[in-house]
Amino acid sequence: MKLAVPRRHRSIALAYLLLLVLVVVGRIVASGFLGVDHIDELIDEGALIGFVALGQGFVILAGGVDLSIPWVVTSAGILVTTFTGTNSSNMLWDVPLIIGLAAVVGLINGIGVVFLGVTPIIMTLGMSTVVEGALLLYTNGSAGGNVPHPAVFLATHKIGQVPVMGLAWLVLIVVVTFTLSCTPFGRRLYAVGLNRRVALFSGVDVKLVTCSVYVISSCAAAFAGIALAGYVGQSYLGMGDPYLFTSIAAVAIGGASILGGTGNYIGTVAGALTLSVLNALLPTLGFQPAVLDIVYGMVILVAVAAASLGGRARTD
Amino acid sequence: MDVRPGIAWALAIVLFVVYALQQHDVLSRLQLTDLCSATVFLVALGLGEGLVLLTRGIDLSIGGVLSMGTAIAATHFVSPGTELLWSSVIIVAGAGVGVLNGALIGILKLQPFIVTLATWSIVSGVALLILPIQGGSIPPHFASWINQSSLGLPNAAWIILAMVAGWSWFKRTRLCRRIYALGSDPEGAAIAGVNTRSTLIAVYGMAGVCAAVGSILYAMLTASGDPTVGNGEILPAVTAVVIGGTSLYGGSGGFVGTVGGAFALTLIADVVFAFNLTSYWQQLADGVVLIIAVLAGGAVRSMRLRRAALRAP
Repeated sequence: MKLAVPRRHRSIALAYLLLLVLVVVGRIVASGFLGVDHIDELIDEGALIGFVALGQGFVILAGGVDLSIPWVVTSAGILVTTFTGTNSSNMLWDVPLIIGLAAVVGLINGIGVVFLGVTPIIMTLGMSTVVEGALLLYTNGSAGGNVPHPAVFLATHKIGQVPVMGLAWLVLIVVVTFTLSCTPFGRRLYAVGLNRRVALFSGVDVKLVTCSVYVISSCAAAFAGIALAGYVGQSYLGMGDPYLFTSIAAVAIGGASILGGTGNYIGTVAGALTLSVLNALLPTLGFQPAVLDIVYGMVILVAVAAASLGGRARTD
Repeated sequence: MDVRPGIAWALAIVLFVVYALQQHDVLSRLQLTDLCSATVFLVALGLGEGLVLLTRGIDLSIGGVLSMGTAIAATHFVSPGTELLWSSVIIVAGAGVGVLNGALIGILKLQPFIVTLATWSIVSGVALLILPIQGGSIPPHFASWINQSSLGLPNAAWIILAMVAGWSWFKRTRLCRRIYALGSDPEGAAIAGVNTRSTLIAVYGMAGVCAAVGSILYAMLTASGDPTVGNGEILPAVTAVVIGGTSLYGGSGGFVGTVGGAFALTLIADVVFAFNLTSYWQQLADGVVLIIAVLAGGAVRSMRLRRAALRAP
């Protein structure tokens, strides 16, 4: 039997199939798995992964990788609690300020990669430590304070039975998908990821496009950090640590090529939800949380092997 | 004559002088022993990472191997016999991770950073399964060896000297020449008959072994285990190698500079401490130093390329 989906969407269909299988397994092993409250929880945690993976996805699409995400998430989470505290009216200024600071971090990453020719992995690894040091110096190593009300509202409030964060994610999904498939920027981004040289000769401003994905990545990570602080109700050092492997794994499961040039956000959404379901499922199956790290690694390995072996088959 | 290793050593010496001027008893035997034992694990990590960088690769999984090694050490070193047994288990495990990396990169031709990122995640998970939180303990008689001296030199210094001696032997071997050839011109090396696969497997295998040895030294230094410690040591390991003059573009560099780079990094932390600054400055400095060193290396490289282009007919 032939699959009725176009060839290029097959890997995305596969990601949703995987999600479906895991949900069915969850329903079988745990009776409350598909209760409304639990579904909301799965969507919320999927959304947090989805926010971070959005930025990582842009960077991967352009052929790079962003290792500075964990400390940008942590910094945003901690800054939103130390700047704003309980005084919600401050948030109107503080959120743009935090996202702006993150944009500066992303811009430095982008400048290092594009204009100074540092490889993405070294540049973002170095920046990660710089951000960590700067945050620790600013906060003197202490985290905490109160999470401002709007962040809590975004992360935990529900309209009827629908979580606000899920709605915010839905808006982002529409915006990102539109940007990638229907705008000149999206087409340029795919061109850069597929073949930098051809893109350059076709008149694409490769430097600008490459630089912008790092800015997008840092801003998305900062947004995720603010939402995460609201979701867990506090901020702490290392709160962003899990999001390095998760963000890459979500993109990989979603069928994007780890080497850049293919993939879209609809696939990454399936990846984020799959990881969220897996996160909930493993403890009920009697596995320790650490097994997740092993699963992430395996998923990334399989994805990169598939991408590069598949790519080779295509060009041969 | 390559001056780049000299730059790392000069940086280390300048930092040492600054440190000595600020802190009084730096030249005491105890302080020098501390300096060596705080640096030796980084030197071991740098030895392996340096080999990988020579082949134009990068190994992020050393972070996982370091975490796993300290986790195994802190849970399984219970009596004199078990220490040797489990040390060899740690080293074999490190070699296994490295060989897996090498096979995926050499045989399947996958990208080094993404392969070692994936194995970093896998091995970190294993480390957390072995030791869920920081803790455990290393028997004092085993751990204290790193802070003792034999024949007038700190044991840690002996290990560093042994690694340097090992490197000067290794540099003359055929394998090492293949590594340099592979790094400076992969296609040319393959045409000249270098077996890319086995060379890469050997390189990543050695990097895994070095990281495992580093983890045992780290466990001795801290006398406990930490299943996430390695995540923070990948950057210093790469930085030590890059300050030491090994190029990220492969094919040039060596271990002598790495040793200087590792000492420079430890001394940055010491100087930060001596000036009564919080240790957070060290984090900031490590990242900035890495980026500056990479930029300087890139500038030197493009200068050479330009000169070579001018010389060409």
